[in-house]
Amino acid sequence: MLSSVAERLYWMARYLERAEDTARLTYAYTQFILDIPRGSEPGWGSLIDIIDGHSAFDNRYKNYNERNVCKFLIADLDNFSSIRFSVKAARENVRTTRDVLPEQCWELVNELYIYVNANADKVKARQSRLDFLDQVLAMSAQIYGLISANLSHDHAYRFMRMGRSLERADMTSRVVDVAVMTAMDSKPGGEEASTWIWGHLLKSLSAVTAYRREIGPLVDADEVINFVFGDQNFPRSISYCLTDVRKNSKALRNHAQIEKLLLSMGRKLTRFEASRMSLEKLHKYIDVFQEQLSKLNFLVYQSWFSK
Amino acid sequence: MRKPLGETTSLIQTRKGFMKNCWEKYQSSGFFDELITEKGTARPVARKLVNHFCRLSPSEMVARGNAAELSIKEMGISFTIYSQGQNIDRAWPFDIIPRLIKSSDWAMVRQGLTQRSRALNAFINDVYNEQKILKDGLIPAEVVLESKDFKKPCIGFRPKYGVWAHICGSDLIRDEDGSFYVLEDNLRVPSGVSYMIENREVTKRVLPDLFKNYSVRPVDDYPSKLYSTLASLSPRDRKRPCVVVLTPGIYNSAYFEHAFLAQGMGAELVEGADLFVDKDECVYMRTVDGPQRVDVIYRRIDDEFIDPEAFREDSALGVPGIIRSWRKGNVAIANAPGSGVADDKVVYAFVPEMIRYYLKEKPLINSVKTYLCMIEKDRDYVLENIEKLVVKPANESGGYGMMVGPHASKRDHNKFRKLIEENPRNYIAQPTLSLSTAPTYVDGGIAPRHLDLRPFILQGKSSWVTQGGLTRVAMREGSLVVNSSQGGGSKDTWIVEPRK
Repeated sequence: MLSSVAERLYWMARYLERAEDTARLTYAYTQFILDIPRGSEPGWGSLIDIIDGHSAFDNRYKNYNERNVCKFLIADLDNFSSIRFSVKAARENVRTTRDVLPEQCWELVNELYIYVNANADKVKARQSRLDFLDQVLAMSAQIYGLISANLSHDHAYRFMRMGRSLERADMTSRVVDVAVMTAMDSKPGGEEASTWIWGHLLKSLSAVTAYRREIGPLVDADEVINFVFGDQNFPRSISYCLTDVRKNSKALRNHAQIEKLLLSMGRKLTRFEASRMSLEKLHKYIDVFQEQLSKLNFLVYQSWFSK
Repeated sequence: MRKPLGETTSLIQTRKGFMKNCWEKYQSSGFFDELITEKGTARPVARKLVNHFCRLSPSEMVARGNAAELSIKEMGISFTIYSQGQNIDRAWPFDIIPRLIKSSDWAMVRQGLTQRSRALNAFINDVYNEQKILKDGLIPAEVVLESKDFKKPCIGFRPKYGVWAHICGSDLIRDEDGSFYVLEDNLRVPSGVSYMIENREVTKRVLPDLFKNYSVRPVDDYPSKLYSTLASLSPRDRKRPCVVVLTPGIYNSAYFEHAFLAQGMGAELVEGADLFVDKDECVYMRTVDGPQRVDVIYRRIDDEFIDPEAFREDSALGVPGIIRSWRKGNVAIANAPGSGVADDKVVYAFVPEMIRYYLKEKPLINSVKTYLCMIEKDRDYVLENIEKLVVKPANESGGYGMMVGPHASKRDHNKFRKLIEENPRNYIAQPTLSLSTAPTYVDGGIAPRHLDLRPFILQGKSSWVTQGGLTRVAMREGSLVVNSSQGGGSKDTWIVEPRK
């Protein structure tokens, strides 16, 4: 497998995952707002916090209102996390790796690209926005389905898995971080607010059913955080994502450094227990975790892509 | 439900007969038409096809046209043009009415093309080695030795089987009586074959019923034939040699095709930066498992850019040292560097001579009468008759820089007279040919449009010619310019077997 091709596949998977994550996030938030009594709606700015997009946002918009934030998350090409940008970048990477992917893969990604371009600007109304996001989620599920069913689970597949899992771990930790910050801002003892925040977090990660089956129907802050960090079976938990990176990197040559970092991250995760941490400590913990993720990304680059 | 009013019914009926009427009125006067005879009836081979199209209503035609356009968009069949400082990705232009050729007619053309390819390869091998044909005075030595495509680093090299141009795309046209002529041989990096395959794919998707009652030769075996040809060049004796497709990158107009062929062959699609030449003078590609040796490079980069050590120093697309490795016999390059020496419109004029000289055979396929401006007698004729002739620069492709006498202005005639006098070696002229036509779906009706045909000839251990090729259509009325970069379209090309 060519290093340059491996790199493109890795990024293709990261961008596809990013598009999907942004879609899921926007979808969950649009629905979340409907549950909140009038007058106490939280602002839309927290979505911009998640993707760390304030400077790009402020360049274009003044108000953090629903319309601007959704436009920024869905349609703006100068936001590197927007659905349109991510899909475009994913398509460019597929265009240059068509020769290793199943034939239909290019067509599906191209269809997604055509769909997003044609519809991304029509998302002002909530109804058409939800339809749009639904369609994006369905189409990306189709692409993953095709890849996992039709592509040999060889190096090409492994690099895509690594890209996807790293992007996921990154997004999951960001979503938790924003929930933590929202909880820090809310009044102490605000029982109701806490349920919204953590319940919404599960929805943003499509984790509601998995959480219910594993933990139970009651939404508890510590349980939720423990679940999205440490559950071994839920594919969007941080623990699961890191195990997946480890499993796929082990089949490649030159994986020693990554293995070492992953093991140390894993040990930290096993000892993780939300009830023993204050929200401030949790926020710092996630900061450190994010740094380690970018180190992982750097090691992937160094081990297999650099010339 | 109320029955539609009588008037509406008759309106629908006339609209239903509308396409039939279009086909009946169709006329292409003065040219050979691929589907319709001079009398206006369908040629025997095309009868069923024409009947099928006659039965479609105008709205069905529109629907099929749109379906084709959508398939092309979704399949991502595109080509890139460079315009106003940026690269634009355009959907591939396609006409839904196929062009049909009888298999018996095609058999003759195939033989003629193989013969040509053998002669051209013998010529290239000769001019880089003994130069017999020049010493015997058949071709003026300066035509070859002073050509910018005669590459000094290639002198004295003998590739496997003596074959230099492994992939050749020849442009064919048909004159008034339907005979095929070779208009030019593209021996550098001919493109278009992926579109030939995709055109068939689109027809199958949008007009599957059209194939009923026809036995059409498939075209999708090209990538495997190409792989066998390339694998036969491998310097190492391995069951599956490492074949790569070398592309200049995504901004090249034929990038779609490079990726298509790599995928079709299960080969890696590489850019210059993915390859390097090691101390052992072998070519390696950079992989996640470390360097891997490459046996055969199907390069889609021009000679000039392939190796900054041997050719253009400023090339960032190529691989330093690759020519050294090739000359050592450590890697095969297809087409071999230097093949372009035979892809010159002056050399073209001598191909019939080459066939007689190297193969001792009679040319099986016609060449177009060519006047060489470097020869005084020819030049005088060209200068005097310029308004009747097509003048072409000897060394351009893509239809650039040529002048079609009968369609050009007096000013252009004078401009080209001057150009020829300044640099006679650089120009040739040919009679204005009447390109054949075929019924084409334009503006909701059926009209004749001129077309050509580019088959592909493979030459390695053995030789092979595509079934048909890429048909390019000049979409503007009366126009002879078929290049897709200049508004040309394309058609699916059927080689049809006789009915059993």
